[in-house]
Amino acid sequence: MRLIAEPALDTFREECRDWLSDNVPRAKRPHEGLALRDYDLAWQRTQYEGGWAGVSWPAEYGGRGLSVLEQLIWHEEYARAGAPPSASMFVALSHAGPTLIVQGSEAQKQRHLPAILKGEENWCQGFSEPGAGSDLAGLKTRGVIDGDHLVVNGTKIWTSYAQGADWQELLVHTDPERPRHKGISWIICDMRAPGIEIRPITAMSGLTHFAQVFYDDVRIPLTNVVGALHEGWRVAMTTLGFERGTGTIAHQIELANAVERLVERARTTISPQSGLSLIADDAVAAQLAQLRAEVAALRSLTVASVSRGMRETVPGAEGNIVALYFGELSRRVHGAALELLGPDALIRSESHNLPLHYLESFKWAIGGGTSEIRRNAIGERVLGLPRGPRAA
Amino acid sequence: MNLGLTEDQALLSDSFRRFFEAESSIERVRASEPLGFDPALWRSLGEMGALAMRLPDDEGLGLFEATLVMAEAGRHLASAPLAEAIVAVRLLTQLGGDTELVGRVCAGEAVLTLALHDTGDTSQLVPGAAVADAVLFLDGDTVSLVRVAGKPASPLNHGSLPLASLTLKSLAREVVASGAEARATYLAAIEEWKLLTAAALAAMGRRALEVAADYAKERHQFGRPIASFQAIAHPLADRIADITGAELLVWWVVKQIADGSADAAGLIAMAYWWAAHASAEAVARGLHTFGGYGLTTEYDAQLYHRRARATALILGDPRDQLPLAGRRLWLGETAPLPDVGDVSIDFALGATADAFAAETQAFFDSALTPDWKARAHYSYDGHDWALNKALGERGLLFPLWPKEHGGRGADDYAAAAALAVWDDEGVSIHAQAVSNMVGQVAIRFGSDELKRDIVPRLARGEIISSLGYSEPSSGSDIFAAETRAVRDGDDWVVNGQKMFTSGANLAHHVLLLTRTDPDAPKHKGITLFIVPLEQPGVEIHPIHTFQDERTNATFYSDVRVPDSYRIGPVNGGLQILAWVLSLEQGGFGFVGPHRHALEAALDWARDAERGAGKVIEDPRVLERLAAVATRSRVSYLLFWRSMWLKEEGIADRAAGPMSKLFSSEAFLRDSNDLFDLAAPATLVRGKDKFGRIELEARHSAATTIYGGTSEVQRSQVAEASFGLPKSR
Repeated sequence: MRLIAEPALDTFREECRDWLSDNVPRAKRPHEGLALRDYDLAWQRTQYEGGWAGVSWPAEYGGRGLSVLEQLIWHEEYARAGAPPSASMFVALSHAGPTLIVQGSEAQKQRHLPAILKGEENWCQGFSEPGAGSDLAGLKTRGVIDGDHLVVNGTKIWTSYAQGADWQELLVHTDPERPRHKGISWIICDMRAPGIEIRPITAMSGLTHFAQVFYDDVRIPLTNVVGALHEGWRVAMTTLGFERGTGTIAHQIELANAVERLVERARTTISPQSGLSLIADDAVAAQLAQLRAEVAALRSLTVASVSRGMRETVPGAEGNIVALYFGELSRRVHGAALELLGPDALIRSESHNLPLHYLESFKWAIGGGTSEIRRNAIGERVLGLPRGPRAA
Repeated sequence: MNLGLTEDQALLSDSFRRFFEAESSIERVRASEPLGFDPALWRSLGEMGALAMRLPDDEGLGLFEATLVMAEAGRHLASAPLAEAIVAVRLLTQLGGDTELVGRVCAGEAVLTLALHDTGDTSQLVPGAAVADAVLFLDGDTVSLVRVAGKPASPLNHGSLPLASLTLKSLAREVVASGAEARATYLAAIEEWKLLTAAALAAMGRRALEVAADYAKERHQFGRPIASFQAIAHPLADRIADITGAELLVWWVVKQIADGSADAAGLIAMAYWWAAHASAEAVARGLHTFGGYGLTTEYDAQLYHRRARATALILGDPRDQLPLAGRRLWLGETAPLPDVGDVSIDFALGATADAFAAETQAFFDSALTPDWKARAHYSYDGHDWALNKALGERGLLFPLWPKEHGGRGADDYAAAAALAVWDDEGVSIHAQAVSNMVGQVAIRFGSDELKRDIVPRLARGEIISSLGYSEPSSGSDIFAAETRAVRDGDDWVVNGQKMFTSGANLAHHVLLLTRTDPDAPKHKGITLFIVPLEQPGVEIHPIHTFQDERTNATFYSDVRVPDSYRIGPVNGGLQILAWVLSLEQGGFGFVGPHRHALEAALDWARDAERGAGKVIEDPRVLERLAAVATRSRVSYLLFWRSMWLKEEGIADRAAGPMSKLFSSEAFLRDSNDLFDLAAPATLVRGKDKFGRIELEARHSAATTIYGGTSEVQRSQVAEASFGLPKSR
């Protein structure tokens, strides 16, 4: 890890830290809805104006044109400064943007990349369907060519922040002659187009970030196809590669912060049984030490993955290791908080809401590829095992 | 042994299941959120007599019956502080408190609960307090009652339970009783609450797994039900084994209290931790099985999840129960226990079994010298011909066999009791186990000639058997065997190779699985033979394992076997193997070694010094030892259950594999954890204390493989427990 200890990077890190400490918004971030969208876009604009949007994005589209290492440092400092989670900007910044950079046409890049960085548009994802989750290639939403448009009919599910989104990265089946992943196209869908209906889904945490989206004869210009028509599977795998690799950096750092908060609470909470702080119990201290070691290991995995990624334009399968570990570790960290801190941790309030974090943590082992799918990918593409049984 | 319910108990259980189905439907559970209290259910519980169930009078029921009711309440996520009220009503009555209040609570007109911790000075979360009319609490030696004027606000909480945070000493109270006895009565009530809650937790876990399994059968991805993927099915199998263990552990502990066991107080803490742990794993697995849908409020998986976690955590971190169990089991800490009443279930192997075990013990006491024990090995390598013949002469070798074949015509309990003595004395049971099985196959399916040739000699201990199933390229896929047997006149001619033919170097014969019809589907072309190993054409090559054990590869070149040595019909091997499988009792072979490793670690921990005290006083050490002791006990319980079901003729295809799966995996995990715990002393090989742990850590590595790998067991458990399709 010599790379991230270089003096130039230290200077960069200090610049990040200085700017963030002056500019991170102090106003409380709304939990949901359009207020959340407006807040996220305004903060994105502030970052752009400060010269901090798209650290590793090409300069010609408004980015800084630096390497992924600077991007990683930015994310670390960002989270350390307590800046707002990327939330409704996540798809734009971590999926759609990076995908367009690699696969988009020049016109698509010009149209969307600067707008994303300036906080003028945000994105959501339209991949999963009620019948196509782990089996993404089994998706049924159809796009039929009609002149210079695709006419889309079907439904997508688990679309986060759909209500406030301007655009969607959408996977549709466009070639009925070719089965499964061979007939899929990746298209840019205007979320304000006629025929789109959004129904929110309430998660067990009580939040309504998820939605199901319905498409009824939605017309999308063929110029919005990314990559080539029917070549969307390859494009989508790139996107998922981002999600499974570096896409979780910001969340990882939030997780590391959660461990630090847990350590702090274990210091300040007095055990009713012993009258001492919780951390004075060796078993508690050992468990906290293990969690801290694990988030450190996760960070090292990520840095190694980033360093490998700098030699490749498209993320490899190793990102699955990061994503798998992150997904499983999230639940353990937030579960430990609930157990260690005693019955009071069960209470949900504005000032502390450990149950909410715990309930939300489950999604990391499901969304963007379940742990099972990630293990398959690691087995097959990292270890070189044969494919497991799939479609009957 | 009796693990069945009496008619009355079955009726009680059924009627409460129907009751909760009607009065605590998922719709009602949802409608009661977020407070988590259903007033109509409470009144009905009163009418059903559930709240008065543990009144200390003639009308009251035993604690065992109460756990049955709590299991139904848990299964249906009853929105009511039932466990709290049941013990509080009993407690208040025992202490001579307000009978009018007790009457109203029993009728479902009022709610009474109790504080779980003796910390009156600070605020504590009290279960049920948000809907209670009165709360009992303990303050030193004084038990007091606080009448709650106006319901305290229930903070929004993880499980939607009617909790309230109360600083009890600051409230106006009535003293109910004082003195050491009052305190003891209160603390016994808390112990009872733990068992009732553990019963409810296990049931929540079971239901969450059932719901998930149903979904996995319906949900299709990649063109097939997701239940057909081992990644989905196998974790469900592990979790249902944990949950079955949690249910049995509650029963076992109740029985131990009834029997006045000195360990009972420690076992309660163990049972609570295990129920909390097993249910947490089960509900999390249930949730994950639903994928994204499990995260939505629309589906029920999250309800089981939130309720089970919160119910377990209201007492505090469940892992705190482990050092507590350790202090009670090994450091002399005591706790007042509830009076549980009569308990009809019985885990004892019985007087006949005990007598047979005693006879076996008496023989070993006279026959085994310290020198002999120092040389012993648990595998075939420890086989001793003189000892084997002496056992045979006394009819101690094969108690299950009919008397006319040299056995005792005994039941499985007697055999298990005697073999536990073998294991404790360090006498290898490998040759006995295989010979016992092969002998039974010969008695049932063999020709008169074969029976005459081998059964009496086996019974006298003059010869032993070995097994020839596995081949270099057919292990788990047993029916892929390629060793051929071809008919030639009155004989069969065998050619091929077998792997892991343990004991072949000592045995008289091998039970050989051969292919007799290469054109039939693979499981329909299999025939079994008894092949004498001194036949020309048999070659035995030693293979040494990391368990200091010799096994063999055996080669068969034109080996002639008389047709009279065929077992069962030609191409009928599948049916014979199915019968053989039904003889198996799951985890018998691992419960003893697992316990031996634990006992060795306990000896070490009591003896070794660390800092100012003994190692065993370190709470972290206690926590790990208590966790091992818990899994060791669960292994025994699952084994006993498997044996009882078989003896009673109750078909349960999951029971044997579940026992084998759990006990071998627990043995593997725990013997390695103890290997770490007592390090570096455990690095030294030998027969005493530490060496025992090292030996068992190596021994355990084989147990999740032979007799069917854990993967094979998980598939069987998943298919038989939940009706899942075959998985790959």
